[in-house]
Amino acid sequence: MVTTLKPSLALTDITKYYQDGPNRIEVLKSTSLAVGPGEFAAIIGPSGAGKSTLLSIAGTLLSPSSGKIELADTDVTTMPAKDRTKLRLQKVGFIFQNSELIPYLTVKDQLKYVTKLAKRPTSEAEILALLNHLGLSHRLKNFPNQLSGGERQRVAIARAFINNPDLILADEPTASLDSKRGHEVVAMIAQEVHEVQKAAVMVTHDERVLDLVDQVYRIEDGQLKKI
Amino acid sequence: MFLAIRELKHQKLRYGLISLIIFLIVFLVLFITGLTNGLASDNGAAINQGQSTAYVLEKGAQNRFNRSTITAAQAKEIKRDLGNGTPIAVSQTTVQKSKTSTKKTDIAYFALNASADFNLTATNGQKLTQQTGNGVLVSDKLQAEGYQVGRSITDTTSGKSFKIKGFIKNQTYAHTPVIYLSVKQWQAITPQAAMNLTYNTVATTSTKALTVSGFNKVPKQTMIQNIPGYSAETGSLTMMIAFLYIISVVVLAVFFYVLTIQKLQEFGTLKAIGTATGYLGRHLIYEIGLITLLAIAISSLLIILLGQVMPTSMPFIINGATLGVTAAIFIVVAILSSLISLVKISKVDPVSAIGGQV
Ligand SMILES: Nc1ncnc2c1ncn2[C@@H]1O[C@H](COP(=O)(O)OP(=O)(O)OP(=O)(O)O)[C@@H](O)[C@H]1O
Ligand SMILES: [Mg+2]
Repeated sequence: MVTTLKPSLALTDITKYYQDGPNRIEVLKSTSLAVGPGEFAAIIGPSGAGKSTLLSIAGTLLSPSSGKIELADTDVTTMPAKDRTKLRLQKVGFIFQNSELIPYLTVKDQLKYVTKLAKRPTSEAEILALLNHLGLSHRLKNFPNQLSGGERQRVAIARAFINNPDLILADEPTASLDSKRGHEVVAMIAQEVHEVQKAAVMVTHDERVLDLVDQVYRIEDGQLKKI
Repeated sequence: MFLAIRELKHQKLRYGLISLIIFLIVFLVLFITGLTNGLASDNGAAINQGQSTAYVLEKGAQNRFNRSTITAAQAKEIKRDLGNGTPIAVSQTTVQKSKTSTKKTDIAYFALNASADFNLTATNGQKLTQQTGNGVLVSDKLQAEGYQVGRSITDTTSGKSFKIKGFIKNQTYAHTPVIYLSVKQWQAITPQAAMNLTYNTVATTSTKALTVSGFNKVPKQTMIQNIPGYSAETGSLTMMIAFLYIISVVVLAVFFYVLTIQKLQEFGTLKAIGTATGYLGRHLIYEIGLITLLAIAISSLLIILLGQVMPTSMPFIINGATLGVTAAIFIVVAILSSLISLVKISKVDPVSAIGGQV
């Protein structure tokens, strides 16, 4: 079967260097990546290889030195910061290493907040259904500091998915979890990705979760290589 | 608002403490303001009340009654020039309850012939224009000294007595109660006034400019500010209030700046998940604003209650307008104090949320 679907994320010839005094550190060297709907890609590589940098560029948090970024058919390379914030809200869901939940919001409010930001009419039932799906229905009124690491990461997953984004970006979502929990969390991401046909890119150190993804890339010398 | 309310609720102790500090400052500002108003009013109330809008004084009198002399003939000329005017002789002396009492009270005599242009009403309805025989209307401040309607009041120097017919509210001059005499009553206790009648000022409601040379027409407000001691008293209190405002700016600014610094990572995350910088700015202003409003509300309530129970010997005046102005200034202060934190928040890079780096 030939898929005619455009990729949800397309990075073309991305180069990124940091200026460190007189030295120029080239982190990414003209590398490309395309992830389509329903595809779960993982990026592995040694520390300092540029994984977070690549993810930040894909999420429009960071501008590349050169190259082109397309998110769901939209060229965002030269978009002004304000529009990028808005686009991020509607098209991208982030899952961070340390969950990065807002400490004073309950589990339910974490999700309510992002739906309010996106000005997307999301019913209470929709929020509850998603939380229930991720096994959090008994934790609705708890604050992040009352949750276990795995529960926090599941809330972060729910927060990333609630606005129905086209692209999910996860930076070491399992780093603070033991291997069993980590596997569970990644399985949940994989399930969501496949069920609702999202594109997802996950950076990980944990080789034991790679069985759950569709495509693995290794980053070396600033270049992505399919494995 | 969504974030602000939830954060304040979650961190009750933290934000409650800062609200407490602001409450104490607002309370102190309102308390001093009340005392300032009370003092000011106590000092110049007799000049401030009544219909008169200006006072004519001799040139060179530096806006002080006791340095100005106006003869009866000059007073007539001034009156004709302005269209209306009430010549007043002011003198500060002492009275006592009877010839034999040992306790004297400092007072100010305002000697004048009342008319439609200068009339005052006592709390019992007696009017200055009805003043006949040896009956006088006096300031209600004398009530606190034990003087009563129907009882007599004795001029210490001459030993002559008057009968109190009524008390008029807020009639004080240089902190002493005012006793209103008719010119005839005044002459009866002052031999030199009987021989050669002179006044200190002519009160008027006229808006015309004065053309009689040798005299100045001074607006009421200028007169009040030139009452002996007035500027010195209110000046130092006003300075204290100004400093309290500055302290509030600094306290709020430092507190929220420290909090902002601690929350940089959180702001980075909020930006990364799509919160606009403007939203975060409003979030901060809402928080500061809510805390300040709470502090203002509680302290206003307490001040109003306090105003009811303050003794008359400690003049304390606070009204809605003063509360409103103070509240408005504090809101401005609160917003000003958020500025440095706003700059910090605007500089937070959302990329800091990725990879756990700050
Ligand atoms: N703001 C910056 N200025 C200069 N150099 C930077 C900056 N940010 C990152 N780097 C450098 O870029 C390189 C790639 O960083 P990046 O965070 O993308 O690595 P990573 O692959 O995510 O590593 P890790 O697995 O440890 O998270 C590193 O050598 C890092 O020191
Ligand atoms: Mg990283």
